[in-house]
Amino acid sequence: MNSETSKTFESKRQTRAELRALPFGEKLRILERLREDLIIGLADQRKRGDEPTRDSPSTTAPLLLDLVKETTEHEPRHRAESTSALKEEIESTLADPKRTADLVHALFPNGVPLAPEFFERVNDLHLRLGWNETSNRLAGALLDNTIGQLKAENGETLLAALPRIGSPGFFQTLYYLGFLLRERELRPQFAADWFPSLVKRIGNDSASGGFWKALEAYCEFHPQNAVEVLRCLAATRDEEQILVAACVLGTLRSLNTDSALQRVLAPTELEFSQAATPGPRAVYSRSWIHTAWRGKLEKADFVALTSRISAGTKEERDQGFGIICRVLLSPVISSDCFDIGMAWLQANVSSSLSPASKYSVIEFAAQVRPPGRSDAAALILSAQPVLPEHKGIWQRVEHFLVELLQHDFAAFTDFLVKFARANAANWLKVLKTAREFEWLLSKMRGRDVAGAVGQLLFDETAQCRKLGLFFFDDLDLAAVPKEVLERLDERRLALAFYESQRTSLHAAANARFLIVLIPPIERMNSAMQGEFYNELVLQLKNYPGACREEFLYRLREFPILQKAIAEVDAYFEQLKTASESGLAAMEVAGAPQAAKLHARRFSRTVAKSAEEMSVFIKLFRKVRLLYGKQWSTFHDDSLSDASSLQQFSSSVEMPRMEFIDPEGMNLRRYQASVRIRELGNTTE
Amino acid sequence: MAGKRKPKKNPEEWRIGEIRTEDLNASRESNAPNAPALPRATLKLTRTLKVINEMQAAGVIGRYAIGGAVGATFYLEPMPTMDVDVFVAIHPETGSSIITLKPIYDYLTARGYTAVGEALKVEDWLVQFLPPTGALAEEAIARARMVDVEGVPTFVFTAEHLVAVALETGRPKDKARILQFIDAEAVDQKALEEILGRHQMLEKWIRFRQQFLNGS
Repeated sequence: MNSETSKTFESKRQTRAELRALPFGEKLRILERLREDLIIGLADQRKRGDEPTRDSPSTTAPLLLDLVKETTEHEPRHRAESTSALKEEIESTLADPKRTADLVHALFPNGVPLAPEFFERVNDLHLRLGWNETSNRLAGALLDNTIGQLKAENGETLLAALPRIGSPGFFQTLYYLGFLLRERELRPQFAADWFPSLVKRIGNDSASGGFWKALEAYCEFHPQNAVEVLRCLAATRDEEQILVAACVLGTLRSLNTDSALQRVLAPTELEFSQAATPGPRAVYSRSWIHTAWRGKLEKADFVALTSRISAGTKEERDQGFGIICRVLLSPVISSDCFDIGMAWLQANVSSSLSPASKYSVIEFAAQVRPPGRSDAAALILSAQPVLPEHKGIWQRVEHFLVELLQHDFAAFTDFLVKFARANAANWLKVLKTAREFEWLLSKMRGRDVAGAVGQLLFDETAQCRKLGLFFFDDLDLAAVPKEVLERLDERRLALAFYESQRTSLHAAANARFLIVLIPPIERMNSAMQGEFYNELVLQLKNYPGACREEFLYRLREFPILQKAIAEVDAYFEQLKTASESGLAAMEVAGAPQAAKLHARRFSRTVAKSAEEMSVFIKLFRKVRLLYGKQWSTFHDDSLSDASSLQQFSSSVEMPRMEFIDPEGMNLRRYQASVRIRELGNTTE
Repeated sequence: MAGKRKPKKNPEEWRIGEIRTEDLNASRESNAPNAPALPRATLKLTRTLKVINEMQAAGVIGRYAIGGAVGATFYLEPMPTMDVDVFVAIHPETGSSIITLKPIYDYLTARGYTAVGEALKVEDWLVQFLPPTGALAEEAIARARMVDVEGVPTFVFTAEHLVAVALETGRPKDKARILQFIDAEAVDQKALEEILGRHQMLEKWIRFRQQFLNGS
């Protein structure tokens, strides 16, 4: 045996002797840690499908110590080399508390600061190690070891500094907080203040999963202590305290059959359930969400909960919708409980719900999968109207519609019409807002939605007709199914015709809609046919580009279009002659200058609107070249090659008649409205 | 043209990652000897042991003792294991001569604990209940020493009985454990040989020594 081998052998022998000398409890603690590592390690290997590694972990940790040194010296971060060797070093450090303590000392050579900087330095090391389960465990072990070395009140001071860390460091810490909370009990009064302070710091950020998992782990590993924390929160009123207490109560309730624990918990639970103030009662009700998500909600409990919510105050009923919906979203809920919850929602959802309750219901409905989707659709309809300003709710509606469109087209078209009839006015407002419902509209393009849109175009109510025209225009539809047109009576047809007169559509869409109306109009009386012909002529004058193009495309099918085009061609010929006459050459003083200014102002308005509406323009910074026709960029001390400016353009046809005869066009819209009223449309 | 001057740093300010003196002082004070830290987590095994003690109090099992890797950990360094071996004195049910673990399973499953393979998951630990297979194991249970695991009383085989049971079982891992006991000088050789003599295992012991300890 050479001297190096002999030294290693002696060192191992000494370590084993030290371990043997530890108290039994301490040895069992290490054993439990080894056991957990073994289980986690095996699970990892199963995931990777690797062979179990037989190499013993190295007794030193040079890679880890290098990274610690880089952290303390604020060196730039780089990708860690030899990740498997580093992982091995971390594993062996985790197995030995003494080595973890040494690492804490190396990371904080001048002592541990009881301030956010402690977490910032641990987080820095955490990032250098790479974001994975092993590095999470090491960061958690460093925190646990540090807290173990500090006096109790200083440990609390350090933990109290956690909410003061800036983002994203704070959320990074939440990933390894669970390790500390599994290992160490907190003073109940401190925990009752500290946990809500973390919730407050999290705010509305959705990256809160790490915290809630850690809190559940705390309840699992220290149930008696968690009951004490719950008692400290008995008079809770703050939202954050309610959230924490609900999680603790719901988790403790679901823990496995520790009868001693349930005996201690029962009176506390009763106290929350029967409290005179709303805060603790809210804790009790919301705690069932956590119980349900842990798969421990019984049918009788859920029936009692729904009855409790029904009998509660208005505020409690409002909150109740959120509770029931969250419970129903649990992936492990029994079908019995699901049916009970769904029946309760069906009986209680109405148009008078608060926006928050509507959000809960529609968010839930959007996530329901078959066979419950038709019930979910009914819930969404019952919750209407939703106001345009509640954008979150509309996003959930859009989510539901897209899901339905992709998985059950027949149900989609049916729901589209029903939903439009339930809330057409508000939906149209939302649809007309820039970038709203783009997802749905993109999915609807190319699908056969003409039947559903046709029903809306010829609907009894003005708002549905307007919505139908919006879809017809936006989805570039060109036809409506025959069976829809054949069912139309004269009144419905006239209503749709007048609706199109008073609605602003793009030129091509306007032309296509008029073409759709030709066959049924030909069955109507001559007065109506005359009005319709005049409209064809007017639109040809209004949009001599796009409208004429659409009409020319269908010329052979409909002779009326040929007649109208011939009439308008003659009109433009006469107009040309008139414009070329000497009279037109006469100028009013200042008129060309006024026209030039008007054109410039108009161009500026159009450019501004385009910038506001265009996603692409928003992506790029606007740079104005003062001179020249080439540009290049200076980056990393080098100048790129010169690029020439590229020109591209798009054009849109403006309605001529709106400029030539604005009063006449307004009068035409007014007359259309009068006709609609005369036709007895009571929903104006 | 002069470049944009960086704003002067306020000496009161300090960079992220630097450490304030007052925090350091507080930390140094906190490291004073005998300063109580936040309490550590309860050992999960204590919850399991409590349940086993309750079973004993309820008369489901008689005397019991922990053997295997967990028992050996009392005398040696911690060694990884997935379960805890509990040797229990069980008597045949009335009218039967067969020893069965049914009462233990009934008691524990009624309390929500579940069977996992040959073991039962009691709280967080897998527990293998092992009825004594001979006089040696019965003696090992009878002479087990009482120990305190963080306030929970329990029983662990003596080191000599652990070695004798390991010799009787004779699997490679049992032999390795015997060598660990000898290497750590955790066994009273005279007491061990008395036990082995009582149970006619001296010859097996001599063979083991010849094989692994050069006949020493």
